[in-house]
Amino acid sequence: MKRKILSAFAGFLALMLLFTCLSRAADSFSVARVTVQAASRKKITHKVSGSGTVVQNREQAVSTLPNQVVRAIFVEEGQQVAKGDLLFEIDTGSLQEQILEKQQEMAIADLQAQDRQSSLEAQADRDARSRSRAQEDYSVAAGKGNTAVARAARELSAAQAKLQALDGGGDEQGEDAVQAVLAQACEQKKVEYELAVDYKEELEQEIDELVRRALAQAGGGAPEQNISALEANGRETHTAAQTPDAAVNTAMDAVPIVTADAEPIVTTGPALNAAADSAPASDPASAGTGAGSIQETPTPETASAVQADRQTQPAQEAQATQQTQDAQAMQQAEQPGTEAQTETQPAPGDEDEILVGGEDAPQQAQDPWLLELRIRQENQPLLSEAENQIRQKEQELSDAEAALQAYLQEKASGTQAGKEEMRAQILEEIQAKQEAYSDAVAAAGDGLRAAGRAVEDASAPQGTDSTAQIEAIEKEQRELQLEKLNRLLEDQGKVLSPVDGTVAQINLTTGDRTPDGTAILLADRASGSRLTVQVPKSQEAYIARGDAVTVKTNQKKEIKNLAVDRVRAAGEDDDVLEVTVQLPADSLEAGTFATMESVRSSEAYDCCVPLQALMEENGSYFVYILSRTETVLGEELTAQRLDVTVLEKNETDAALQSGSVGSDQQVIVSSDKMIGQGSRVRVVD
Amino acid sequence: MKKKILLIPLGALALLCCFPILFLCTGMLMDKGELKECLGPVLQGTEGYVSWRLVPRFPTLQNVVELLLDSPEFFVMFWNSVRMTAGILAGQLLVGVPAAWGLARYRFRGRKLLYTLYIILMMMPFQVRMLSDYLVLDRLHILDSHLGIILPAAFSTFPVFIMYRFFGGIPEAVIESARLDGANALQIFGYIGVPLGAGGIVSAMVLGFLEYWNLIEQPLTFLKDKTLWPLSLYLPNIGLERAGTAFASSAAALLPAVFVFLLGQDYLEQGIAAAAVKE
Repeated sequence: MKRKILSAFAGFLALMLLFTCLSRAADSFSVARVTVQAASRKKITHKVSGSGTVVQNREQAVSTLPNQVVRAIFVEEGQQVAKGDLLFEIDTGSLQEQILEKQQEMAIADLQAQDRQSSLEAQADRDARSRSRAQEDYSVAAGKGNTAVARAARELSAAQAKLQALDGGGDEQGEDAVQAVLAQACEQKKVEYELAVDYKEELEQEIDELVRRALAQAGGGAPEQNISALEANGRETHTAAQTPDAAVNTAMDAVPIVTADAEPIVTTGPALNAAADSAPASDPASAGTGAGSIQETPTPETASAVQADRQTQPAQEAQATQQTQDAQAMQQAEQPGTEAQTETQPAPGDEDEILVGGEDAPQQAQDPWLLELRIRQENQPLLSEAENQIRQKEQELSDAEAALQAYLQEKASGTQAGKEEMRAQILEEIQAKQEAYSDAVAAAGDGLRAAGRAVEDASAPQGTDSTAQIEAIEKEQRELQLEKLNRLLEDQGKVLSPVDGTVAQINLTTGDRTPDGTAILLADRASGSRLTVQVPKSQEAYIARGDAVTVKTNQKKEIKNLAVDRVRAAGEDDDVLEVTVQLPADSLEAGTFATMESVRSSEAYDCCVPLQALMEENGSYFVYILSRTETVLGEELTAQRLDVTVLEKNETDAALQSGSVGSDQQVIVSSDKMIGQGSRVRVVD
Repeated sequence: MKKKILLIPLGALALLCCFPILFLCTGMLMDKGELKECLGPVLQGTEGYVSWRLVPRFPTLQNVVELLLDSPEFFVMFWNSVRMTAGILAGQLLVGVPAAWGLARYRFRGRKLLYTLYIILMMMPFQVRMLSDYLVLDRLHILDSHLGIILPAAFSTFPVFIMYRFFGGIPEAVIESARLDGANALQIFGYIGVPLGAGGIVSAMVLGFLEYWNLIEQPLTFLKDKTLWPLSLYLPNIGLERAGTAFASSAAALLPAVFVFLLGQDYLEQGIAAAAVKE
């Protein structure tokens, strides 16, 4: 029994021994093996690198005239060429054909231009002619209209005067009044006639006086005094001449009005046009002040003046008509009253004479007879004019007397018709005349308007015509092209390289025609080249313009101390940056694959740990450090979590806030198992 | 018949005494969730009272496996306990047995005084000797080592006192006859004393084992190095998280004591009886 118990006890101990070994083995298997490292002082370096293809900074396009047949190409892409090297050749045969074609085209264009020019000139001629004809038609229409209107007005006023005379001589007194008016007119004419005769006599006396003085002066008189005396004399004469004018004026009132009315019709076509257009609508009375209105003539106001003058009417009418026609012919705007003109004409004549006399005085001194003859000859027009006046006044006087005689005879014969009947006839006549007058005014207006429109149409501006300029430009262009073709032919169709460079692209095929744009693209060697690489956007902070970079090629060529020229976002891709490095001229050929590397190091940090030692959880960083604890199994190593602040990090290292990790603390860098706070670990070297 | 009737209340009392053992075995087989449910109120401060059941709801050997395979420290402490206990018992055999033979068989001046001194020292609790022990061990430079635990215990007075009773009980006539046969003193001790006092020796050893297997105060006081700690210090380290392991380790710690008790059961009773008899 005891033996059994003893053996059981021994078995128990053996079992415990076995499990001791087993648990030890299990333990060593479960403990994480870690590597540790103390925090160190170092700089955090950021390496930015990328690869790309070298491209030339500047490319030079070589082009020639489009649509030329390429005979041969002497280069291929990637080939190095020197300035002046033959690149390709154009077929000269087709070139010559094209030149000929261009020349023919130009000749055709020239001929067409000539034809056009001559047809243009003919057209201009036709236009000018039609313009002048329209103008002519307009003038004729205006003249015709004026004449017709004036005639109608005169007839109308004559009829009205008749009516008034009839109304005035309704009874015996009225008959007498007609007679009195006629008699008064006779008287007046007589006075005028006498005044004219007096004037002539005075004029003769003056001439004699002038001759006498001139003769005396020829003997040694002062010409200036003579002149002043004559001037004063002339003025007196002028004043005297005006007196009869004022006297006649009342009787002549109707005439100037007609004249003044007629004048604007002639002189100002468009103005009359407007007046004629508005004539039917305007009130005769309100238009009384408007000198331009044709209808003014027959208004009652003027009629009263006419009434007083009715016996002299025929004579005055004749004169007025003459004056009107004169004015129309001369197309003068300013015209004094008929009578006034007649009377004042001698006055300027005097002055002319005086001037002549004054100037000729020294000559007359030589030959008195010749001098007198000369003075008298020169004053002869004045004298004859005065005689004309006398004749005219005489005629008027006889007319007035004839009228008075006719009236008296008519009265004496007593054969005059019943007054009422006569009045009715006259009223009818007035009515007819009035209508005729209106018709004449309207017709004159219509004629003028039509003629005016014809003038407007003829002188209407024509659209601009730039065909000639366009043709000139086209001609210049053709000449330019021809010049280019000729130049190419001169070079025998050979196109040479303009620069030293590398052929980057050839857009030609032998036998085909040349394109419109670039024929051959050359990379200019002299302008240097650049390397553009793409790097992740996350490295943006570590690369900037001016950073030193090293460029390496696959052929182990290395260029150091280059600078970053440009850093920018690469197109639409937000995650990539484009870094450009300018390469020195002749360093790397375009198309070479190269790698760029830029290293930027920070200031030295006291507490740097390898990046893999740094753990992150919920955005905060921590590391595990080794902790030694005494346990039953002896000194045991465990991992202790230590929260840290990261200042900067790169792909390999992280800089921690100074003092985060003590100098005697070992940071767990790697582990073969997941470890956590308090995990037992074993350090392996 | 009378004896049988007495058996019932006595059996009930014995079961009551065995309850901690049952408690231990049940707990060893419980899983963590069940342990937490039962022990939560006392170990974690949750509401209610500690409950217990005799048969686990979901029996598992997980705790045992965990203890045996995942707890190397347990074995370290187990073997520490074995080493210390064995060392102490060996020391007591070497020193205590001759000492008890001498006190029991030889008449010399001051024997009574010496024996009394032994009794007094035996009665003294550890706390009284702790400081002096510490100073002596420190001077001897055996602090923080197993020797510091083993040496004081090896010279313990209690086994001498137990064996003294057994050696003193050997009849004088047996020893006289051996002397007459020409046996010297060492031969008389070796061939007469040890065999006849074997019951006392075994009983002293069993009592000593039970005492030193569960030694707590001395290691706690004299051992700083945890690697030297005995198994008795392993258990207090365990919380609710490892309650299952604690039950398993307790059971494992119990087994050697059970074996030793079974081996020395007969002599143990004699030894306890001897200790109770005053001369």
